[in-house]
Amino acid sequence: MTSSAPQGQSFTSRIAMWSARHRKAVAIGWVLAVIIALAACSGIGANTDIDMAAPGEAGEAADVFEERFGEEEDIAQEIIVFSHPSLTVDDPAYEDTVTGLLRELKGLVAEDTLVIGGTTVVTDTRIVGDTTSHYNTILPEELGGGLLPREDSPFVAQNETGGDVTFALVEIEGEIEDAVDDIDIVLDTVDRAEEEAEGFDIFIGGDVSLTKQLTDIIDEDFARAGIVNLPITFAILILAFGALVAAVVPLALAFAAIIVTMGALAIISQVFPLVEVYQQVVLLIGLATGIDYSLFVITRYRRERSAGRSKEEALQVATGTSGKAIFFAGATTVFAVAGMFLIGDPVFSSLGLASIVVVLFAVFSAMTLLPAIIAMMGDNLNRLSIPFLGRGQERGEGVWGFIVDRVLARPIIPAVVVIAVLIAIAAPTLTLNLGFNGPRSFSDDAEAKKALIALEESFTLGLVQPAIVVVDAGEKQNVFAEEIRNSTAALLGLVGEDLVSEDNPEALYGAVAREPDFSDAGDTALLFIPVNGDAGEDRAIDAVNELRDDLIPAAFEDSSADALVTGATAGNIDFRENIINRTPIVFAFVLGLAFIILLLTFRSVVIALTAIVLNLFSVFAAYGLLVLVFQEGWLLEGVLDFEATGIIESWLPLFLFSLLFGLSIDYEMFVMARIKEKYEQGLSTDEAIAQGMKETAGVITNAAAIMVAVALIFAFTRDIGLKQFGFGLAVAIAIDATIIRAFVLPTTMKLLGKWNWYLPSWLEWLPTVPMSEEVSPMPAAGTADGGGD
Amino acid sequence: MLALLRSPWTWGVGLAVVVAVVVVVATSGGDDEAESVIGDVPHSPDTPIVVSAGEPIIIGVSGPLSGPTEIFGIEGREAVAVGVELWKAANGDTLLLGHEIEVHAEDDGCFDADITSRAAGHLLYGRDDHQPLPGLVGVIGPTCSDGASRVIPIYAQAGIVMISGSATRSDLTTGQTSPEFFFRTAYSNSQEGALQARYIIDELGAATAYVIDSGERYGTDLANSLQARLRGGGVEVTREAIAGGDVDFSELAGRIAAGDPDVAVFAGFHPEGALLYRQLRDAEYGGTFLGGDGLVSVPDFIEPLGELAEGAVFAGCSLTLPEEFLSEYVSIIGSEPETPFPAQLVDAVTVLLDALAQVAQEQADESLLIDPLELRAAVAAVELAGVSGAVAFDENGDRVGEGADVGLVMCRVEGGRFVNFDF
Repeated sequence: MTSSAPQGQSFTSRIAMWSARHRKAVAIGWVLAVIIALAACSGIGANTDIDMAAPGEAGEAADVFEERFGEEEDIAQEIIVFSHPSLTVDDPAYEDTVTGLLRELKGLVAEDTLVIGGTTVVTDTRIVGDTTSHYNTILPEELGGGLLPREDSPFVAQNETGGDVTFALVEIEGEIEDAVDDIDIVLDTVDRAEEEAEGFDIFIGGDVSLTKQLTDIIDEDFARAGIVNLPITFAILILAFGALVAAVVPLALAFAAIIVTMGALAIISQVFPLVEVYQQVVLLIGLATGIDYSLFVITRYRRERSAGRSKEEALQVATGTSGKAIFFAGATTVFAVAGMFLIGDPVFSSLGLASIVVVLFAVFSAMTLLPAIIAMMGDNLNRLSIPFLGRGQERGEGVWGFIVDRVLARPIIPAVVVIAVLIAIAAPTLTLNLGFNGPRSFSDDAEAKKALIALEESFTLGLVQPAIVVVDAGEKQNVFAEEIRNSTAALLGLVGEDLVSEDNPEALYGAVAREPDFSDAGDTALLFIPVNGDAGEDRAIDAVNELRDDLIPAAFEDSSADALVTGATAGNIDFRENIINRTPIVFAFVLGLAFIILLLTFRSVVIALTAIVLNLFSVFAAYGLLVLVFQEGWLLEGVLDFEATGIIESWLPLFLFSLLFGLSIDYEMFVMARIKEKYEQGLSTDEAIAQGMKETAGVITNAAAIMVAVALIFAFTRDIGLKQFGFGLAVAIAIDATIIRAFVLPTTMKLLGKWNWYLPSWLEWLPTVPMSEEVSPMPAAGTADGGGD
Repeated sequence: MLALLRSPWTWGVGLAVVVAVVVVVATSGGDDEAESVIGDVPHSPDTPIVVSAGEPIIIGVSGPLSGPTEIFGIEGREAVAVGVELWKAANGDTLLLGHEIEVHAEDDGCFDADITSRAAGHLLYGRDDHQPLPGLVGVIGPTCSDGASRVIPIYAQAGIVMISGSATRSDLTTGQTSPEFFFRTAYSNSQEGALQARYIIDELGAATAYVIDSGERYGTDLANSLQARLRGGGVEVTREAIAGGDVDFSELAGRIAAGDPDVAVFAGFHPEGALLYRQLRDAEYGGTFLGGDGLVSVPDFIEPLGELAEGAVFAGCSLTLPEEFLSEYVSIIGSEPETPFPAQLVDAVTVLLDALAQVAQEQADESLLIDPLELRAAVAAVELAGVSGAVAFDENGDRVGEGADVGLVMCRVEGGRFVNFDF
């Protein structure tokens, strides 16, 4: 492959042919990029200290907190639950157990080594700060002093066997991200205390232990899934190509793109911090797009080779046709994912950024590294071929060819039936209940959940994630001013009128146990009000709404202070509200940009609209199935190992939309590009549809299978949000690649006929992007290797 | 040969040999490991401290590294490291008699004496997951008086010299049994109370004072010292105590504002100090607010209170540090100190290392042998021209001198900074 580029080449094939000619330089460049990226990952490491700015009132409250307390987040807190079948908290043995453990915890330290100047400084810093338990509840002097009677203590309840259950609040020093590294010794100490304290059940749970255990679980899940998934992906690639070498190349390219992305993000994150889960998203999108893009090009290259073209021509055609489709598909994906920036949430923005970078590198590797590898390997791509595999797909044989023929023969009935089915599947979207799955949805494998369940049985789960009322006295006052104290007392009084008890299990609040926190300047107070329920439950949401709408306005009516509600439930209410408000903007942005790209690519208003509408079918069908499975608990609870909570994560639909629209548009783009290519080669619309559909059927099936396999990694994790995400993505892609592509797309295009290519005269100025690639006529059979290597 | 390799007997015997070797190696390694982890380091005034060949000399630091007073401990640790660096630079060697100098800082909970005591245990005898520190030659600290009073006998019994750069309670030194192992480069509450009283009487010409202490022994001691002198000077004193953790001083602030004394004094720590000050000002108390060394903290007082902090007066501020020292400090730490005792802490390190260099005996095997009593005596006899002034100790371990000579100065919040002043 040494000849110069022929005239009339598309820009994608020009880049590809340049890369092929400079294959060694390109390959070395990529190897260097991978090495630098690995060095960046290990040397710099990604900055995941993201500013989790919440929207709405919760966000305002968080801003006040950060300004007045000089910290980004409230003190991390663990809750230790003690239960004994017969002893009460008044028994000395009970007291010794509780206070002994707390004393021991307060002595635990984490070791860190610094070098200050040239001096090594080993530092042991305490892990546990203040602790609060029943044994700190002191009656005022005027009431005689001493401990609160157990029946009046918010820390004490009776268990079924007549013994007492109590809990202790344990402050963990440092921010959660740092505290997670040191929590194991705390958990071990509690475990040991339980073993040594005869008859006691002692559980610990809270912000830090949950973060640690849930992160470990997700890491385990992904590690396990990687072991299972990579062989499956490889097997699909072998099935697709029928050759081991050809199957390895897409995987290698995907990982090259992923590694370079990780390195780039490690650097970018120093300025633009990323959310922790970005790595999983990069892996998902990197594998999906990286493999798919290579698959498209290699498949086309091999097809052209088997049709008798020289290596150079085959590469030129493959990169000028499939390569072009990849470029525009990548661009659409980038713009679709860019919609996440419009949500105005740092988590979405950082995931959007990570997604964009990995797609850009996936496209770039397919346009540069892949041609270089193909040029280097030539027909060695077919080495280690496996008999009977990977044959005939490109010729449109097999089940898809059969279906397409039947559908095109009688398009109306399949169109009506399939669209009706899709609408039926999508219909449950109307009952979508967006929310937040709280601690109850956590995996039972998280040990900390035991403490939460124990708390829920005897007290309220809201102790773990209370509503936090931020009382802001403003600049001229402090929160101890009489009128503000009165308002605060009035608020707590109103809350106290609706406390959960045996007689009133549906009350909105639990008894307040945690002392308020005050800023150093005394201008801000934090009140911790346990809502009676899991953070995402209706009762918790009702409690926060009541606090905001009724109790605070009533209590602070005559006060100069402001009172804002934040905390997990409030944050989720506001987050959900923000998502709902931003959804139309994001939809309009993504669909509008996709329309423009498709219009530019195909020079057809109708094709652009068709692609968008068909994509929306798969998105809304996925939403509908999400509702049926995860909200209503249909069919798959056992298979996916979860318990339906009636809630779809509020971040999911919009995130899924952006991502899905970007990923599944690949297929429409690829099919339509091939149909247009055929049309440009002189076939009639019907013939072009039939040929284009058949020729792309095999490769799209394989690509979709790979993407579904990757998405299912998420569906089989033990995190309900990731589970919903993986399931949604997998079914949407599956629907898109099967029902939409095989039934809806051909029938729609067939029925539209010549209108498919409609472009209003006032848009004639649009540039023409040919989907076919001009090359020399096909050589005679037997001279296929003429290009030389 | 091949036949031999295929024989199951060959494989069985080979496997048994491998297992046996693994067991022997693992068992012998385990014994060594166990000995070094759980082996006790005998500490007593009569037992020489041994710094083994190749091992570092350890300087312990006891201070609060977490919680509301953490800034004092964190800056204390940094000042000790600066002290080590400056000592090395002054002596032209990064090693002391061939040994590295390493700092081990323990979080001691400040006024939570249980935690300070546990920190002492960690430094002296290790902990479950950590071997003892055989090269521990002395401890800089504790930072706070209440913790110090608990551990002074513990370290003395172990023969480990302690030099605190910040624990000021008057009776810390006087209550020691002989031989005394506790010294301080900081002034005492008695001296600080005297300075405060002189300011109130001579500078303010006050007739009435409201003195509030924090309820723990440092605050009570400082307030007592001040109160005695004020009363001796004819000032009418109203005395009050709060408890650690109190936040609502509205009623107290209201009473003080209503009584309108010429000066309100608080002896204690933050956050109580900042909260009390805020509530006094919001109650429209317009007189002078005077705090002690426990309140001199930029992040705990000036930063949260902003402009409201302007005009507050303190005794026990950081000395006006020599330019050269400040520039060295900033080049090592990256920022200027924000608490009052960096000079005293650096001097404490210098005293310890000078004394060590004087008494440590190099052995033929390159280890160091240090007699605790000799080290104590060398510290007791020190005469140092330090960053905080001339450092020498009296028979109790207290610093000889008065006022600025022992690093005791006053300051006022002006323009968002503590600005020292004379009167």
